[in-house]
Amino acid sequence: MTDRNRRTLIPLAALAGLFVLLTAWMDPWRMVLSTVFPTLDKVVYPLAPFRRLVAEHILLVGSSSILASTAGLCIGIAVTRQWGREFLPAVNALASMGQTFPPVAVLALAVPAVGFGFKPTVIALFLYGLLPVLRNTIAGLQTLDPAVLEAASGMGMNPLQILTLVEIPLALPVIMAGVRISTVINIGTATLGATIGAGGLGKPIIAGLIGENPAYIIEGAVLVGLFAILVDGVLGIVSRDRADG
Amino acid sequence: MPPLLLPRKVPLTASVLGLGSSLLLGFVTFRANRLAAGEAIRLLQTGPCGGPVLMAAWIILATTSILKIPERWVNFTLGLLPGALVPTALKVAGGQAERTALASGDIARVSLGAAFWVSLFAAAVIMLDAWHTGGLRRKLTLFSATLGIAVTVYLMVSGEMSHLSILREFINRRERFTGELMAHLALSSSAVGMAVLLGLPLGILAHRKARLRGGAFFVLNTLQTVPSLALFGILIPLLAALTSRFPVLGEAGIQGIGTAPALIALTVYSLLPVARNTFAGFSSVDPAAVDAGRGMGMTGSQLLVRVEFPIASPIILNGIRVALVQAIGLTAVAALIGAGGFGVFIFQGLGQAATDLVLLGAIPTNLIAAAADALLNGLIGVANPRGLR
Repeated sequence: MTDRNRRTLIPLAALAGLFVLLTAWMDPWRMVLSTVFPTLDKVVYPLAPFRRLVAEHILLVGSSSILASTAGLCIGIAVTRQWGREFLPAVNALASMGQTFPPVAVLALAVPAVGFGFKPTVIALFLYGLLPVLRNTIAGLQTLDPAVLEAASGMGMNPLQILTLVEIPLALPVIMAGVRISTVINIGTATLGATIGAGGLGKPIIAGLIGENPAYIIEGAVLVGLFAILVDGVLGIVSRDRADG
Repeated sequence: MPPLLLPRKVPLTASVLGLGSSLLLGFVTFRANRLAAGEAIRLLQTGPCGGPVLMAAWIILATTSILKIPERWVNFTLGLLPGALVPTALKVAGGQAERTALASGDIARVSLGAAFWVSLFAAAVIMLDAWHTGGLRRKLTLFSATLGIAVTVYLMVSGEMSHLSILREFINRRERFTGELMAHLALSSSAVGMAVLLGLPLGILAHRKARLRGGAFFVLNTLQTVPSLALFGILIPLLAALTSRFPVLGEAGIQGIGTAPALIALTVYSLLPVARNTFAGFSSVDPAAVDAGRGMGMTGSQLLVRVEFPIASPIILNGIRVALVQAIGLTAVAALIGAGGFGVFIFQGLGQAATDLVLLGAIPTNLIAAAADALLNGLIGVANPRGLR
């Protein structure tokens, strides 16, 4: 483990502890928020316990990010092979054009295609999360030193061995950086999923905006903000570890 | 016997995709009224001649992509057809909408269906591939795409498509649309403008003072990680508390909801790309260039303005490009806290389950993001100092 990782581990662990505490235990919320907003009737979001909202959020982001990373990796590998190279320019262009799409628009467009709820949110998150992984996979695999690949084939490795034992391990830091970007964006977009009935930590925020209850807004916003920073930190450590290993 | 087949994989895949979707999926969706359940109408079930023409185009594209025929024919077919296909598809859909309006009255709605969007995507893939192929095919693609866009715009503006549901939504909100367009542009560009005013000095400072660097970028990175809805949300009670404590702020138009929190959040998000790229741009300046300038007797500020800044400017502009594209997308979210912009249509449409209202918000948002991206990319090309090209 690198020095930098060791240094970020402690604050990250503290942050994780805070997140778990605020998810599982309602009393601190009630105490703080009823002092800050003495005029509010209800200060804690009543419709679902936070642990359920967090679980929904993790399920949304987890399933879509795993799907997106797998698919992005596979497509990225396919278009950098000899037989798929014809697709590389078009895929590259589509990926960079796709990233000018606003995430909220992708989410909104999934609704007419699939309807409201969990499924369209996962589909939108999947589609949008695909692009950073795809771009970084292509970039990672294409910037490898050709001499290394030649040496590998000189050692008698077959293409599959070169891919799994040389190319992917060498490109992994760049690929993981793409996974990190994709997952963090997905956490933010999943928050918007509450507007199309997907559940998750966006629910108290939306409920607070509609019902003019700032306490609900703060609850959702603090939890989802902590969650995003936490996931970003953990994936940062993982990708840096890979870079040295 | 010489081989008959020479598959060109990309246009072949794309035209099979276009053909397959036109056969299997709905080209337009019919609704008895604006909110009723949709009924898919496939391409061959639409009017008298449009459907077969489009089908024939896809078949010609697919055959051209697989047969071993002279390259010049391939260039003409793959270069010209996709650009012509797009306005034709729109015309077919618009014609169907007009017939429906005559038959079932004005309450009935006809929206663009899955096969239309897949066809659009497939045509774009062929054009992108042709662009990369270069030579004659690239020139023909440029020509046909320009003409295709011009005809599409004409069809939209002329009122010929006015029976399509999305244009009905537009016509019902014509004034509102202009207002939201202005609000969207104003909000995203002023946020990026503020980010440039703050981020440029910050980036230069980070370049000069190593001690400041780590902390500043750590804070900006962390803020960038926070989901937009969360940052908007936290700012609302914060600003509300500030204005109730200091009424002067309220008189200045600063409120808990609306433009103020949106502008602050968008500026914060735009700050990281601008500051980071300013730092990277200044770091990319060859110290020898600065030395040469100093040797010529330039002062510190002359060096900054005439040597460092011009060399760093393409990278800085790239940061502004990223910030602007991101801000345009996030402005759509800001509609949730009452800041206006195209997000208003998106969230209204989601609330009413009115697909075409969602599209009326989402499509223009995408278009202005793409336009900003293209504009800044053009500027980056121009900004590259002549000596470094």
